[in-house]
Amino acid sequence: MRSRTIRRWRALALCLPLVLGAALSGARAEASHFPPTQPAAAPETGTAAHPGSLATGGPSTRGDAGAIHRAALDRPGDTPVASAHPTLRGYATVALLLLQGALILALVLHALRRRAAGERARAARAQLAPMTRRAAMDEMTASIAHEVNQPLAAIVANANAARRWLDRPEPDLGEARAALERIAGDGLRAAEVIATMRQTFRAADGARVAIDLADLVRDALLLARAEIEDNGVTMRTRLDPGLPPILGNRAQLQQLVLSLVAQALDALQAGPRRSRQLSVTLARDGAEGVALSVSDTGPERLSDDVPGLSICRAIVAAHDGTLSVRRGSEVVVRLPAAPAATETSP
Amino acid sequence: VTKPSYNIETAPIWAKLGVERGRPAPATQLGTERVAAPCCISVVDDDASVREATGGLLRSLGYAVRTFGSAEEFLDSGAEADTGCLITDLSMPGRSGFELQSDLTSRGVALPVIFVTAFATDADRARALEAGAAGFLSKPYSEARLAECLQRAFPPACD
Repeated sequence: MRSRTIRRWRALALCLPLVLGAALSGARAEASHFPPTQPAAAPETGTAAHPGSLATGGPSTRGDAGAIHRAALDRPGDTPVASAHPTLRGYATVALLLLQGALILALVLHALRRRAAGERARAARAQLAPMTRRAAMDEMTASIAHEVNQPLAAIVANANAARRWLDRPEPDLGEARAALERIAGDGLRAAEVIATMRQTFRAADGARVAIDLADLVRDALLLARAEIEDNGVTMRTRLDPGLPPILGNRAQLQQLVLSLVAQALDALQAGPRRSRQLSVTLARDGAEGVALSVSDTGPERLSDDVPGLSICRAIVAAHDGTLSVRRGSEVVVRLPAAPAATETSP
Repeated sequence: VTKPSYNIETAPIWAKLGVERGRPAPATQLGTERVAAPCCISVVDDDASVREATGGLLRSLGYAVRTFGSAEEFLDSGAEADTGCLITDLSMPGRSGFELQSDLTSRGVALPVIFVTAFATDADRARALEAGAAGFLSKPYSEARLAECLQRAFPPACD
């Protein structure tokens, strides 16, 4: 609604020169009959337009205006009507000029303000992007955790029960056997959950393209740079050139890298600020593969403690790779290279 | 291997009586005058295998157990009368664990409740404690954690 008003005003500002041009040409046509003292007549029209100010103005003001008016009227060769008309036209011109100036100024100011607001919004969006990414990942992690924790809970409870039945003075083998059978079933069910998840990832990935992982990692690190710097983390990267391309989904792999970096940053936040170091390396892995390592100097953690690692595992699994956690603070992802015939996509 | 902090030796006496001596557990004696204290554990979980496993574990520990697939099923069964402790999942289709607890409260039934969830959030944990839960377990949970909650939850009459 507001922008519509602005558009209307802008149209008016653009039309004004035409109006003004017409007014000016009209004024010029009359200029031959126009007295050279025309600008001096300004107060006359002004006061005439504002009877109030005329009334409050002292008698001297009224007298001056009257004198000038008379002077204008007394010009030989000019009828009063002919002279008053061009004067009005002149004032209309000046007023239009001023109006247009004001309007243009307002529009310029508005445009500047709008540009500033746009920049602020862009900055806010850039700041928000990692957060929304986090939120989406948290949601996904929650659903995966829920699905996998159910059979895990059943497995743990059944295992404990089986032990209890066997530990009795008179072991209840029938109950123990039943519990063990349930464990087997629950294990298969957990595997099914993972398989479904993997299938979902595969189905979602649509186009699998050959990807230069070094490029992708570099881009991802650029995205995470602000977060890395804000946390006072020094980053060391070693991305070997000339690595074979891998076949995969760009968005998922980028999410993988960002997620690994985010987990490392989370761990670093737990440690002292002065020795925060994040190291990302990408190197050839054996004859036909690429190994990505993300390690940090933060405290070691159990892989189960890290939310988001399950989603990383799922992405890596969908790319026929492996993910391993070393020393609790280094994650190594191994991905197979694309078949030799494929070319790296731009 | 650490010894579990809970074992059949320290299980409530009534449970040992019921199971060890081959007598039917209190839950199966419903309707008879022999059931005095509400000493049965009711397990409410929509996940069948979790329900079965939890029930199995509790039975192996010597408790009498009844299992229900939903909050509604439990409420309709009238089992609250002989239930000494309720173990319920938090998120279930239909009424949630929290809703089940408030339903019981509005019926004037004060049961110790242990909430179990496959995805624990701080908010749920805080809400559970605020609601006076006897325990909050995140799946999968160890037997020791379960024993801890049960010791806190179970009415002294059952010991």
